[in-house]
Amino acid sequence: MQMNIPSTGKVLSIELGAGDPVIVRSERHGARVSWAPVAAPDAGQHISEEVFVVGGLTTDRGTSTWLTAPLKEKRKAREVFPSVLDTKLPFPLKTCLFSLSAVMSSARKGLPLSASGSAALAVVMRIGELEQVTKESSERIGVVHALDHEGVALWSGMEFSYTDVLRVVVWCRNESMLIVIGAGDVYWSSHRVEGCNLEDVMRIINLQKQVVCAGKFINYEFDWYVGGLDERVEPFVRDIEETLGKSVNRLPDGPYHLARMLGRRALLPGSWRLPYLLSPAGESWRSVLQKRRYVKDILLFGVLSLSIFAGSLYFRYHVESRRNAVHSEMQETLKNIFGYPVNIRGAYAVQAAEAELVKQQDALASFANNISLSKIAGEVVAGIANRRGFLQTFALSAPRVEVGMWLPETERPGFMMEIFRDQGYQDVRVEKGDSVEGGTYYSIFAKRGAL
Amino acid sequence: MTISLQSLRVSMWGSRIVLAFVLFFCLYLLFWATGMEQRFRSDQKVLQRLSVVEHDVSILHRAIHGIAMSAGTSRRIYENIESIAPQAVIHEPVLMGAYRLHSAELSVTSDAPRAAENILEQIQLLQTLPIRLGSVDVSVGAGNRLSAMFLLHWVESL
Repeated sequence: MQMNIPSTGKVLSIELGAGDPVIVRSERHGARVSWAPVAAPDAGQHISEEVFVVGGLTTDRGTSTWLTAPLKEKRKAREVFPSVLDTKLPFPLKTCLFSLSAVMSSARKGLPLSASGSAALAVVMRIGELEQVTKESSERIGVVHALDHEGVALWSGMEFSYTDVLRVVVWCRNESMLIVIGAGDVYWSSHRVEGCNLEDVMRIINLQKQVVCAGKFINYEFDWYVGGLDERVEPFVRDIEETLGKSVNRLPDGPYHLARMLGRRALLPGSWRLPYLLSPAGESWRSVLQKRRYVKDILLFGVLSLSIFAGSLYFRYHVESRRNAVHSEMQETLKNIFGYPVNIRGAYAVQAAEAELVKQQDALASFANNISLSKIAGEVVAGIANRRGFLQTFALSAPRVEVGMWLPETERPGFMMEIFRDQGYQDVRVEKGDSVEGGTYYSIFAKRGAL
Repeated sequence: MTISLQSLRVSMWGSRIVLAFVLFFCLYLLFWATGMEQRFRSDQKVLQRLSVVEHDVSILHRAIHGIAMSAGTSRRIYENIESIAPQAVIHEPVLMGAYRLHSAELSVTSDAPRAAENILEQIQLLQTLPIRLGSVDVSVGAGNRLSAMFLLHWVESL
């Protein structure tokens, strides 16, 4: 689920539940988040138009609760959940701000529910409390744009994966502790305990074990995670180890861990993200940011369109000038082939040019390869005359020759075949015809190869 | 930076629709330009093929370059043919690049027994002129009458 604030990449996160506010400045660089602690008096210097300020909503100012509805359709369940929430609160919902997590199936493992249908986590605070928190913050630190439930923030920062084990996360402050309980990777509830007494913590834990799902998790063991002020953490951890004989996982970053998790949630996606409860300053900050984003989008869109438009025009001009150059060259080439200007384009120009080449080759065949048809004709006619024959038909051209003649019985047509072979004709054939009047008719055919 | 949307006097959705149309138009131009590029490439291929044909034609023309004659000589050829064979049919010259191919059809008929000698004489006469014989067609008609048709060519340089 998305948080409801467009990210500028810079967050100032404040743990408000500590005596002195613990402040961390975080900045996103791609998928990484860098952070640094900020002293409270210096907080005002880090607040600017680009910085989103988020405070931790303590358990005494707001609450988290699970909602269920006997509906499998998640969209419909989401519409029903505000009414369900209204029935659970001791005051009207319209006097509160609330936000809902993504709707999930009640059958999800580890949920502290036994009903079937859909479920969602809700965070609620009264509008009066919000006004009080923002007033106190503005006096001590400056503007606060939104509040994020610190119990949910602490839990989501652990990035648990599901296993069949209960987990308790303890955040130790000076005069109180924040207890967050869940099963596997599922958040259950947050609690505030005065002082740093293990017995008080165990009482809450045991109550949860008995109550949730009618004691379904009664026999489950707890994994412990402890963090906060070092001077409170050390004795508490020792207490757990000596009294319960359990090993304890330490939360990193000392007293800044919770504030850091509040900042990280604002910058990176992850589990258990709920929409922020926005202060009036937060609402107007979001609105300004959205408008700015919108104008930037329009400008970007406009620049992109203009670039594509200009690029297309230039490209078109460039291609057209190249095409014109090619067309001029084509016209010149065609003029060289035909001998006069010819306006033909495309593949038809090639066909016409090739046809013209063939026509010219045929027309100039007699000039090719120094063929002298007059010499051949003279030899044929003289050869027949010298042998006292008669010429019947004679068709002579550069590619082929056909001769029909009559020769006396004493003569043979071999001389004719020699003439043609000497002149480069191939495939010379002789067909003998009828014998008439003391002689024989002969037909001779010959072809020439490519000229 | 603060900008009031109201001062732009467009609604959010209205401006998005306008911008979508503009972007679509620009993309259309881009595709059109791409289509022109493809047409340009196909024109280039046509030019390449035409260049090959031009090369073959130039080889052909180089072969006749040495025997191409001037316009004056070509006119004298016409006069010679007309004097040898007044019945000759002179065809329209054909333009071939920087040359002009002239053709003339000469018909000769002859009775036997001098048919072959007559044909020979004609051929020898033709060999005195700087022309080429394109084809010869001889046939025997009624009464052993020999008919010969000579197609003559010569090339004039323009």
